[in-house]
Amino acid sequence: MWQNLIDGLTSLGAPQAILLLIVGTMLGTVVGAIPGLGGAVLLTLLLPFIYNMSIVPALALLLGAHTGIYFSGSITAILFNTPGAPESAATTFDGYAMTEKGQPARALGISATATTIGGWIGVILLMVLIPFMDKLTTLFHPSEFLALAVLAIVLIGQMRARSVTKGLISGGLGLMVSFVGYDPITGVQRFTGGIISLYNGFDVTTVALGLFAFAEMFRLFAKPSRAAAGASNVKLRGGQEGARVRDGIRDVASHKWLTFRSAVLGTVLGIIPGVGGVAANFVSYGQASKISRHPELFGTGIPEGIIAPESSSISKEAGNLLPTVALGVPGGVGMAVLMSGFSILGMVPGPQMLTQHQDAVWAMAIVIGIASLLASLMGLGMAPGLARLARVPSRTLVPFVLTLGFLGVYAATGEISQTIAVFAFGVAGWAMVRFGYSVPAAMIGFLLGKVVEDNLYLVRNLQGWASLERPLTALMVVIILLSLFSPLLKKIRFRARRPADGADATAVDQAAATTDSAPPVSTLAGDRSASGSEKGSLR
Amino acid sequence: MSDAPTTDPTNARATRSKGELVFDIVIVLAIGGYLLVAQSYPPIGRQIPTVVGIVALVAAVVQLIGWFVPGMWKFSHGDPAADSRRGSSAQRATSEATRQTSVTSEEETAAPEVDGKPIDVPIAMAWAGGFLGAILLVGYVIAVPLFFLVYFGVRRSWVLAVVSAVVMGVVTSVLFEQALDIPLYGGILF
Amino acid sequence: MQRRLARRRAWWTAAALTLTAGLAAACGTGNAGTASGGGSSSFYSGQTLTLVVPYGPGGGYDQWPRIMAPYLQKYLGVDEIKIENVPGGGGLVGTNQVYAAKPDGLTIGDTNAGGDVFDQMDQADGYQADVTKMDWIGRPDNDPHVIATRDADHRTFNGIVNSNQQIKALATGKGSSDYNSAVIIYNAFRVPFQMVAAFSGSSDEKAAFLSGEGATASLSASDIAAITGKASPVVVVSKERFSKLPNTPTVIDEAKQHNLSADKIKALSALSDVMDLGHAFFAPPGVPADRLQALRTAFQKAMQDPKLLDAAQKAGLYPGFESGQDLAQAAKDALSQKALFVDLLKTSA
Repeated sequence: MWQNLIDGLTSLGAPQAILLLIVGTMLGTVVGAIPGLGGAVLLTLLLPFIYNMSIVPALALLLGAHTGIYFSGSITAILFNTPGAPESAATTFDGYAMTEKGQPARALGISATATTIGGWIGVILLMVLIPFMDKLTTLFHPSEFLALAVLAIVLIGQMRARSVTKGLISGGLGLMVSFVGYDPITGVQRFTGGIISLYNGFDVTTVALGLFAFAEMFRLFAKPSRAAAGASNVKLRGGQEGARVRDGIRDVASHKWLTFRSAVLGTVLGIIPGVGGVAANFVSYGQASKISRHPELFGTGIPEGIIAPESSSISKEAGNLLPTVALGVPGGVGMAVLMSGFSILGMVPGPQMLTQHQDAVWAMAIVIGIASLLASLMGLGMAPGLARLARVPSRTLVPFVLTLGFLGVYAATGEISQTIAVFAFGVAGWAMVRFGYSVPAAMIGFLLGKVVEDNLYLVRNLQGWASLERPLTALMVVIILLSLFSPLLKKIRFRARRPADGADATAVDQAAATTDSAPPVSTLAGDRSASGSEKGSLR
Repeated sequence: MSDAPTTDPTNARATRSKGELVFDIVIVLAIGGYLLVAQSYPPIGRQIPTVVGIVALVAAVVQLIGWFVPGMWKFSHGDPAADSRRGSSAQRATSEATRQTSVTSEEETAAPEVDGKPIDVPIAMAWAGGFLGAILLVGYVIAVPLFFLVYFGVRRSWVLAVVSAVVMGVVTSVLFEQALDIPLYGGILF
Repeated sequence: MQRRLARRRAWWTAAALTLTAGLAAACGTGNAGTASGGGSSSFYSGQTLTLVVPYGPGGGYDQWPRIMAPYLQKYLGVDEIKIENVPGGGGLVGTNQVYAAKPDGLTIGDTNAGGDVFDQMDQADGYQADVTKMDWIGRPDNDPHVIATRDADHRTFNGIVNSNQQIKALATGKGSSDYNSAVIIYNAFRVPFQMVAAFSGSSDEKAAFLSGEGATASLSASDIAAITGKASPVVVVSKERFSKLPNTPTVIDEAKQHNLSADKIKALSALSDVMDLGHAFFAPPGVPADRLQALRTAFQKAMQDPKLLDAAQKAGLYPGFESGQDLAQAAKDALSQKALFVDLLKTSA
């Protein structure tokens, strides 16, 4: 094992490998900023170039690009509410809100720092897990997929709706849209209206760009100058204290536990093929807001809301490598392309890869780490300049984002029907924001609706309901119940202790939350949430 | 954004807009239609969509009723005042947090978010819709520069229009079509 | 999704990739792809061949074109081969696209030919091709379909047939060829079974199967090979025994052993024909005869190139050439067996 690790490092140390790693990372960072080209498109475009390469340099190119994509996907999410990769949508919640507050440089600083630290935690965890990857195969059953998907929906579904009915409708609409397309259970095409290009349903790129980017562009157009930019021009240069890149770095440093927790969560979710990858950043965001002592501040542009999804951003890709390599089951779209790369390079994913190409496996882990570091250094260097982009007047910005959105959707899907759909989702997304619906709830419903339906069917027909008592499933069910009822419990406690105006109480609570900025370190998630609510009720 | 008559004085203007009523009705109709279509699928295939659809439909109908039952508004459509309160308390809290790391912050002075004229959003959608229509008709390679030419030509100066049209035309045909080798939609007319 | 393989015009981020190419050349490992010339047909020299893959990257339908591209390019003499992934419609969108393409011999595709036959029999929604009219070019691999059980369960094919408990059989999705073949086999052998199919692809099915769910999985032999030691094929859905699994009986061997009726044996053998079509390459109907011949010849030459065979072996693929003429005949034969399947495709669910 150590010999293989050293072999992997040595082959990475070759000048060719290093150069390709840099080239790949830069390509990923540049191209990943164009929405729709992230995910699988760029990687597929790179495949032809690896034919004559040896294994490690080729993987350095591919994984470097893959890592760069996720990094720059967050940058556009922060600056323009435009997720470069669909998973980056979770970064828009607070990242874009922080930009709107006039602190884009700080948000970029948080993103770059959290991504890298999270990425490295993921890589180290991955390296620890590699020798055990054989055991992973029996760990996850449909019941875990189901519980995880429901958990994600519950965590995000409560976000930002103005009323209970609006929240329910938002999530419901997302779920309903996810059922569009071919249904493997019945072999029927549902809700496609006979349009064959909707056979696979609406593409995730289409929905993410429509609901977030297009909707925001419609809103921005109506605000001739972007609120923040107009209000305080100075800050956008990144010179203002509290809004600088280095303040973002400091933010991450003062939320060590959150960063660590989110990175571990991202890695673990990344290991779960199919479900975990898409949901990781959202779940990470959800847990951060649930456990936080000031959950109501999430979505208003606070550091925690960026740290959580960003720490998971690369670490989930590190986790994704495990099922890809160990089972030949790609954890996400990018990993699927990597598998085609494997075959060009003459490698067969599966348990035997550990015996035949263990050095390559180690090298892949390290490549992810180095690439995230490279991307972040580039990002940190460019952040002050990039932050200036947030100052572009909205009516100048709008046509560019719309164009890249239309182009990106077509590049990603090759279907003109999806280009039409992105516009429709944009209109719907604008109306939802305007009237107080929860766009995040709709998005997570869309991402996981089909997963829930399929795995519900599998649980019912393969495992039986008793499977909900499997330890891992049961744990998740408990967390689901806790997060469903914790707001209620908190409310009851508030009422009992403080019959006065609730809003006042929360304000006091917030003040309390912000005065002790370094969060106490505790071990269990549930533990933490309990102690959090206790604190609130003590006042 | 016209004010609907309201019995509850605390529900200030801007929340009860005709647009929202229309949207609420559209949602009820859309979910209803979805449920109808779902019933044509085999039992297992319609089960989950039906359950989800019914939950959403009930919520949507309750919300619609909220328009007509005075006391229900706050429940069905929430308290917009809470939104603004949340916003300001959030700003207060973050500015406090900022003060901890730095000295001062002008957060509170930031003007509250003001939406532009109500007509602006439909205008934005019309631009995007027109652009989409052009893509459908003449394809990306022509529609993209055309859009920039018209958009900035109408709104700003012709110089900016020509420059942006050239730049984005190059991005479309050179970056996407040639360099990345992604074939783009050519339009119905060609 | 349109993704393409640009072999020549690599002029995006020219600097970066010149660097890449330079390094690759300096490294100089197995230079198969850059060999040009040696082309057989004057029509193809200087042209660009588009190869449509009706699925996304990551599976056999993508792997074969990518591994073959440099060799096809060499033997056909084209300047460039673009690989275009057109996923969607469970392969239907891409296959329809090739079928409807201009038959100039410059657009070809690979397809799940067995699935196409079933779709044509069912007149499936959205299927717009005709396997009897396609210009078949060839099949690169011999990767037969199998029914597999987990090693830990110690279940043999006899164990499945004689089971008094319901067998939960995994397949990807209802109506897919792997689903249909499992249904036909279990019905023929009167196995008490329930199909459980809610997977978006064979890798998801494989993951669920490996985690310990379901009794059998319907997959291809190479899918199982990657997880040797965890699962093994118990029966091969093919006319002949598979050279890499000499001890695994074919479905026809088993049928004879279980004294199934002549009709059922006939149906199972027809099923084997359908499933043996495998990952087949085809061109749209109406390609000029000389160009089709050039495509077929180049395909065959590529499949005889030892370097290609070596690359395919390394990638865990099972090369096993079959000619376009044979495929065309097999597709016609298979389609004519429709009547045999009607009863056997019935499920309780």
